[in-house]
Amino acid sequence: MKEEQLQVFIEGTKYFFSTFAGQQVDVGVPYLVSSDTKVAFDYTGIIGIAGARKGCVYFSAPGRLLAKLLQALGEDDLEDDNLCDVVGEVANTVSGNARRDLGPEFVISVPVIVKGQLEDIKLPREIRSFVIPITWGQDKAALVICLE
Amino acid sequence: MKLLIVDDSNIIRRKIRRSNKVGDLEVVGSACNGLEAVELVKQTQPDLVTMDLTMPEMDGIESIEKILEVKPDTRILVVSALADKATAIRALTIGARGFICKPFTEDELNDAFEQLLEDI
Amino acid sequence: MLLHDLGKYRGIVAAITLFLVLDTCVLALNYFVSKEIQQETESVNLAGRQGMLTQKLLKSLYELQDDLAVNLDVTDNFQEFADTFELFDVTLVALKEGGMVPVTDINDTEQIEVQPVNSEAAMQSVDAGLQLWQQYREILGPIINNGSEQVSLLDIHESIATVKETNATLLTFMNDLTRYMEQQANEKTQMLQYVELAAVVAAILNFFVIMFIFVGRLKKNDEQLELSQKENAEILGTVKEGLFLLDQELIIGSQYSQELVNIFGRQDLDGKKLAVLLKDMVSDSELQLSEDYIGLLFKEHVNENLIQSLNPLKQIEVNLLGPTGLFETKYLSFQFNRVRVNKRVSHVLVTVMDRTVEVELERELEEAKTKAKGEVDSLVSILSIEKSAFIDFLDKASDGINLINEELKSSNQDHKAYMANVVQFQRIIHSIKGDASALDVSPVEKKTHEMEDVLTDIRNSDEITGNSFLPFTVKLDELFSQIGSLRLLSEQIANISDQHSDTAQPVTHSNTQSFAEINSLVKRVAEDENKMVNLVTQGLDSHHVPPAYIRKVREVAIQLVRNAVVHGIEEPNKRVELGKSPQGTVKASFQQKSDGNYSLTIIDDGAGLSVNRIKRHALQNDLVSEQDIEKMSNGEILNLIFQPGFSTASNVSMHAGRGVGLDVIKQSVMEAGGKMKLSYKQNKGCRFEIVLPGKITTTTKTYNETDQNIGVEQVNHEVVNS
Repeated sequence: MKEEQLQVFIEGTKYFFSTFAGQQVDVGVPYLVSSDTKVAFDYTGIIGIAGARKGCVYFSAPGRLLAKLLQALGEDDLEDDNLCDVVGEVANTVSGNARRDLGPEFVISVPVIVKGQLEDIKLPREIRSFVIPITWGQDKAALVICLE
Repeated sequence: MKLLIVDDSNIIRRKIRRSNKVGDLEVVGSACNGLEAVELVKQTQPDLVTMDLTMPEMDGIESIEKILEVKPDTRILVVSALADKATAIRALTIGARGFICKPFTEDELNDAFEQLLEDI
Repeated sequence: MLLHDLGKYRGIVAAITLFLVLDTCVLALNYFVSKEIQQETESVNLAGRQGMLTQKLLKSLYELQDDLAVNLDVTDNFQEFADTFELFDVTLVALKEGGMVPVTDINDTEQIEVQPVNSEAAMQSVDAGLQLWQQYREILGPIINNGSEQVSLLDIHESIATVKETNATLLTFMNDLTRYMEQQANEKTQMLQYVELAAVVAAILNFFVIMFIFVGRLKKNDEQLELSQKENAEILGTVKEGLFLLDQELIIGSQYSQELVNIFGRQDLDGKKLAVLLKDMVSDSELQLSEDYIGLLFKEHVNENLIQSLNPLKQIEVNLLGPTGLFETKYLSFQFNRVRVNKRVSHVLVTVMDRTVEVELERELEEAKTKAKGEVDSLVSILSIEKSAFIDFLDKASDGINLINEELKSSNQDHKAYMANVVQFQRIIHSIKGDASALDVSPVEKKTHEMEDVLTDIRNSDEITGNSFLPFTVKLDELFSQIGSLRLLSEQIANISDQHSDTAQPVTHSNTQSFAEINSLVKRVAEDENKMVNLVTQGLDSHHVPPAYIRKVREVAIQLVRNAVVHGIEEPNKRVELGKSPQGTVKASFQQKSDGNYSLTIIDDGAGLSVNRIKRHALQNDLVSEQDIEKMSNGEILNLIFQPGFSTASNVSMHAGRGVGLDVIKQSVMEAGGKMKLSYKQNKGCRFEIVLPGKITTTTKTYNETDQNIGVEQVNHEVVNS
């Protein structure tokens, strides 16, 4: 995984929050996790990646952060459905935007939303995932990039 | 004038609805996939359609083609997270009139609306 | 078509129009005047006939008189007399008042219209004629009215007397009239001739105007056109970009710049499809995408800004057949702009720029970078490494990587904490590098060297954020992979050797072997630095070093010995100049002292330390301010070399000059509760002594995770400047 490519995802996440929510998020120190370790908050939006690179990109966040994001988007309905919807939309947008640099060969799926732990997600064993911690006010979330 | 919103995310559909500040543009419906979009175009005869690309059932590209068969003068604005050039060129070539990327600002969206409705 | 729409043709069209109008006018005038002349000619004839009629009247009167005298039938002659009278009367009245007049005789049904005479002289003649004619009417009128039966010789005698008397005068009047009318007709004919002459002159003038003014003007236009074409050609010949026009069918226009020919190495572009130009340069899908893209430019409703942002040919790499017959790689940048004529997109202007030089420069820079990062080194060297030492190295490196990753994960978001992280990572990475260097595992050595580069960049950046660590994390991932594959390799090698030996040997840590690596390190570093060094060791083996200290002593000894070679020992020439032997000596010895403490001593016969150099570098690296350094004692200045970020090597090489080194050693020694002593003599050498407590109280960890106060505490060392 190249630094520039990771940067694309990080910038995408920052841009999502600054444009849609009108607020800046802080990007923490990136670190690595092995494929059997999943970083999961309450809700996770997973985008499967096929084509030139394979793997997945996911955005995981606690309900409180997502509710805050909904409010920043002007949404009053903070029900579960909408929390799922918005976490998927972050993952979808960040991955979709990455095609600007990675090209149309970076094939992305529609988002899959998981609540709670990510036990059933199988990742390639030999690669480590890059975890990009995201802090928005008091809340923490994570963008995880796991690509061959 | 009539606006139809097509996106698989409820949040985005509602965001577009709220963001619309164009005076006489009224939302006449919203669809969450391409198939539903084609049906709603037949029913509501919209002037303008915002179209997501990555959707279940029928994706945006196919839906644009079908909509233009049903109502060739529909002005379609693609609102998608897919930010690569090839996707935009493809969408515009098959007949979409505009292309903006998610996430968008309210101004970006309304500017695109106004530009597409300029000569109506 | 309105005149002002004609542009530069307005003048010539006006001139031709004028010519046509003039011609039409002359023709019309000719027609009307000719008609008038014709009428007048007829009137002249009539007037002439009147003269003849006066004579005929007299003659018929004489004939009547002759007939009556011999009693002949007078009917015919009387009729002729009456007709003549009548014809003269009708014609004269018509000449006065206008009217219809029979052409030949009074009974002729064919009549011509006669206009009243209009000239002064003619009118006088007519009036005079009429006045005289009135007498004729009075005398002859009753005779005619009475008819041929009633006519008498006497009447005719009287008539002849009167007519004979006045006939000459009437003839004169009629001849005068004829003459006047002829004169008038002649005047009109002459006028017509003048007008026609004038028209011809005007036409000729018009022709000359067209010839000289407009042809001149057209010629000037042509010259201007030629000039602008020449200028066009000059522009197209000299612009630095390839320029051409594309029409809606994506066909290349007839004019294009010379540079286009240079870029593509072909002349025959006129009228070719764009696909012909791009074929063999881009893939089919890219070509399709490009054609679709240009198609969008012709779609009026697609916004220009949006289109500009989608250009798929903004920069492409192409392979073109060069003049040498070999393929050349070029980097081309295409730009497309709409050309509007009458507000409609008629063409697309294509600008092609050759960016090869820029891109190649960038590439070279990039390549130089990747070359430095290259992992071309074979792993063969690890085969020669003693297995346990290698496993030990891998374990230690893994520990270090994991520790760093944990630190990354738990790092606090503030500058100070980030700074502490950087310092800690530098220590760990430097230590892994030291080990890799000692074992000659060059891929790891290179990778860690790069990581040190990255850490230095982070440290030197004005503001450290979480994202600043991204390049470091990426490298950490790569180091992870490296260590992983090295471990895999070592396992495979172990399998091979297991299959070939009957008795599996227990894995033992051979400490002698560990220390022996110092020898090969010195050899390698000396070679890289172009120095000649002899290493003498004493007591550096597992017999003398207690097991708990083995790792630490090894680590410290490696760093100090390396420092001695890099910073202490001079190059052979320099040594000879100073009267020393070209080969320097480094002594590393370990022993237990009488007080029970352990002592590691590293002595070299090199340059020693220079307070001035330390000052200079401390200032250069902003470790102290200029005012502060003036107040500092030599001892305090020497102390600076133990600070993080201090380096006395003038160039950053693989082996030294990172600013980590002594501070790492200091840290390591302090962890074990030890002390450091330093003494030196200018141009004679340097001596480091590390004293470790005899009673080992702390379990030494590979890395100390907690202490982030490096460089803050005073080190227990003595400076002996003898």
